[in-house]
Amino acid sequence: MESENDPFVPSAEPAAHDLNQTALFIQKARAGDRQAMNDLLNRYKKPLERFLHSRLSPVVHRYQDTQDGTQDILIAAYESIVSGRFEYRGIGSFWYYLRTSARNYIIKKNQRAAERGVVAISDESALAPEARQPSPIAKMIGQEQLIRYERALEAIPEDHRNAFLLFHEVGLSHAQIAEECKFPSADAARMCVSRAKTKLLSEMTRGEA
Amino acid sequence: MEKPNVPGEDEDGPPSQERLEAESALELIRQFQWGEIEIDGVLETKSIEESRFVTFSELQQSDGVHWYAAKDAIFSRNAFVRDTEKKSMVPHAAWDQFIQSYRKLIFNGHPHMAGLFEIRDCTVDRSGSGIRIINEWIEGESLALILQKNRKLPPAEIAKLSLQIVSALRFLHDRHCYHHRFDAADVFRDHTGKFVLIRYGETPPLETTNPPADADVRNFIKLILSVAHAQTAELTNAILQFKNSPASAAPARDLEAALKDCINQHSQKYLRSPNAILNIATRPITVFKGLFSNRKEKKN
Repeated sequence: MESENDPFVPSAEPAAHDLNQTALFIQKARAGDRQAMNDLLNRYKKPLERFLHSRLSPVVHRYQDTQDGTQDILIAAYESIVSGRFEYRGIGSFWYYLRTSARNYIIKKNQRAAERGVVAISDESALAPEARQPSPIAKMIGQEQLIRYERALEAIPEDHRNAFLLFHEVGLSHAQIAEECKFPSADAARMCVSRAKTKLLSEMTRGEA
Repeated sequence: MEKPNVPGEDEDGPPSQERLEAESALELIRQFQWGEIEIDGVLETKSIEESRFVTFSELQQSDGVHWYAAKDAIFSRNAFVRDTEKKSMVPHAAWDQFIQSYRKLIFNGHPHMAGLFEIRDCTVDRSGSGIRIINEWIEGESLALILQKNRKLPPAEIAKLSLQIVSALRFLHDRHCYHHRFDAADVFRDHTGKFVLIRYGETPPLETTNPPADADVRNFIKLILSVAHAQTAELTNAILQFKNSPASAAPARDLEAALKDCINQHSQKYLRSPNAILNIATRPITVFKGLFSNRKEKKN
């Protein structure tokens, strides 16, 4: 067996897809550990990819890959972490930071798509401009509802928002949320997520009644 | 006390139409985010790793193997990309199993192995099914090139090469990774003088009975014996002990221990300061005549 003194024995293999190690990875990444940064970004790749994919307009999809966008956002996140511009305040805040970057990216890409629409391209081209189309998610729930959701997220308290996003968008269990957000129990986390949802729904329906 | 939350119900009574719509929207957002709703199948087109490494120059091509230089877009560093036709590697049905076991090396490297960034299926020559292995870029020259320039290596260099590469092979064997076609081109010496395996573990585990699992170690021994100077008699003897030993044991582990013993016995500073080996290796060959002889004799 490998001895502890053997200088050639590397450290233990990290558990895959464990977001609870986010703080540790960020700390290591800031100290120059590139593997830690790679592991960190890979853990958030899939949720971010899904976020972008459901929100990018099909017109944008014609010339812009979701994966390219994910990569651009993760590279920007990498630079922010290493330079110290990003202040880590938990997994929820990190995910909120990533999804905010993704939203900005979507706005920028939609603007460019609109600009491209002005450019004359042959009708036979796959890039031929067409009427503006809603993203898959906006098509399903309506663009206005999506805007209300994003605005409501900004309006509710940060701790509620983080707990809600961890459960709703990142997919952590209540027990993991309790550990991450320092709740005394999984039930307390469940209650917080539930309250956050109630507040969110109130915000989304405000002024409609 | 706060009123318990009942799903779908407002604090003031039954939920309004707007509230129900908002709840439905939240649920759909969750389903999109968790991948429970597939969108035109576009999601599974490319992984970030596929777009992460951009090949920019073909370095070499031979026997169904293509070597490329690539750029790692995330970390702005270079990488070696090697596309190998599956049929030119050991043919086996259990490719998925092979990739899975190889993939573990991504998180679990060795100082004398080029770091593994990614392994996945690919297309070679536009039609052939292949494996793409992406490794750390090593700045230096291959052992094959070094031997082309200097037919023999000095003892200190042999000692260092033997210990470092056997240690890496032992590490790989412990993880059931074997490489039957080991040759001098698979080892690089980097700019610090460290020897690094750049190609390894390309034989699926189930194909390791014939030739035996330790074929790479035995090929390495042959290589060492062909390039060692006569002055390295004791080191050569240590290596020779394993040349004809039965394949049943764990030769890489045993050979590594014997090499350590041999070097430790005759030159303590080898293990204490690996850089000393490199410094010594650059001196004229006559200096090494007594290197592996008894220390007292050396002082006298």
